[in-house]
Amino acid sequence: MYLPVTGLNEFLRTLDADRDAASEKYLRLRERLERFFEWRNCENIEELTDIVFDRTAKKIADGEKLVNVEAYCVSVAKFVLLENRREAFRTKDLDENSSNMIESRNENGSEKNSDLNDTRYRCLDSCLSEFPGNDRKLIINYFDTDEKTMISTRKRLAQACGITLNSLRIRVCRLKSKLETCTKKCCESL
Amino acid sequence: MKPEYEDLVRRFLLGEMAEQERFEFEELFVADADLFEQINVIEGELIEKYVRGWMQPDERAVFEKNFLTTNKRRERVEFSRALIIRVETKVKSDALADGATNASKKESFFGGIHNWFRLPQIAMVGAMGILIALFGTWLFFQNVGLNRQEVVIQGNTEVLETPQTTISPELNISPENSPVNSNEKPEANERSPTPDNSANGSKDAPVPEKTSVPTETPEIRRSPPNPVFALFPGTVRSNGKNNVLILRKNSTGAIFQLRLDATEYKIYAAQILNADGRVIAQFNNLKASKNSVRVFVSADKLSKGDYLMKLSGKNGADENDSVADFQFRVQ
Repeated sequence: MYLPVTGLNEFLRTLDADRDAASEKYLRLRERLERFFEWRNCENIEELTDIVFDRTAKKIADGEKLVNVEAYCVSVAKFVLLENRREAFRTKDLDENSSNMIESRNENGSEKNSDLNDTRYRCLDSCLSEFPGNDRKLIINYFDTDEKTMISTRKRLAQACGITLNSLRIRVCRLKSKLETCTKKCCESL
Repeated sequence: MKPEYEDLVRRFLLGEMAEQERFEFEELFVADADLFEQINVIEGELIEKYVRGWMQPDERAVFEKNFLTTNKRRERVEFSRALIIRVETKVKSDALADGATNASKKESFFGGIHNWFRLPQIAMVGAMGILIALFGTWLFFQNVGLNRQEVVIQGNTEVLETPQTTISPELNISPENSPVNSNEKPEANERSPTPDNSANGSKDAPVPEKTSVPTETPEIRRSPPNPVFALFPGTVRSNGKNNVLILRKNSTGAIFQLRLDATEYKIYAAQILNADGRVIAQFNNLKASKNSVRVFVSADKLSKGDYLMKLSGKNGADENDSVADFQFRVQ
């Protein structure tokens, strides 16, 4: 977010009077907006999300009273999306020319893919070992299944954990997301 | 989540929604954290289905055309693929390793013992030490005595009945045998004739008759036994029998020994729920010892019926992680 400190403070205060709660809300809203752009097939999701927050914060700094910041951010996100599509369309010719270069690079990149896979596995193992024992067991038991027995296996696992199947799905989704973030950071550092 | 909503999310993720419907749906999930979370869950499951090859051909085609459109999504799919492959190989290798580890542990253990005893000095000292230990144990059992424990097995639990003994001596003394130094005034009919001190103008208190010290032996009262009830996680029935606890009439409660495969937490908490799902007892700050957690539950909380004991462990983030559930019945 490319706001000066005062703009950021105003924006956070609009989310919540309490600074810590506001920071938490900001991060969650950011995650949802990034996914909005991702599910709209955008590549530069962080940049587009920054633009949304910049415009919203500027509106607040200009004295606009926003009743529902999240709803306002969604409307801004739609405009940013349309602008991004127009820009993408304008630069389409350039992309088509460069795509041939990208393809040829990929043909020579099979070794790179293999190295990347090795790195990914090593990082995945490392991140998985850092998980608490119960969480690690839960992930392994959850994904250790086949198509026919998947539902019954996961129902039993949920019962063993004393939670509903839906809660189990959410818990595993969160753990997997943490694992994915850790693995990605590890891969980037190597 | 209702099936119709899951279908809605699936259509959203695979790009099968009309534009206006899509915009409205996007407004919903940005504002609703629960809906957003559900979308993440269903996306993960779609990816898993694709990676495992469980998709029908037409769905697979739509997925590859409409979902695998950005680098970030492709990376997410590759990560899921790596995770599933890793889990499969880990499960197989752990199963192999368990078998190999047990075999090698046995060999190294007996091999080590054998080598150790081969040293003559060690053998001599060791033998003497064993003899002394055996003698001491025999002496201990002879002189102190040990309360025999009855092991009552019901279902798949072990109930060790350890009688608690409290000695509450009761001196069974009849009035005729009152001690000399009793502070109590003697009964009127026990007064014995005393010398007349009327010349002194005073009457001495009658002196009670000297009697012998009571020879009755004290009664030893035994308080009712509190059973130790061992439970294993996840087991309800074994050979057709439930985990059943039978409390004797005068028991003050039962000690629950919750057996675990491993103790990964420093602090545990336990909750007992009745058949209606109501929490009837809560125990905090429990510690594990030798792969089990012990909890004393008073008898007034254990009326007849079915119960569920939920054990949780406190993690580093000060949250309670569910560890295991134990079902049992009180009869």
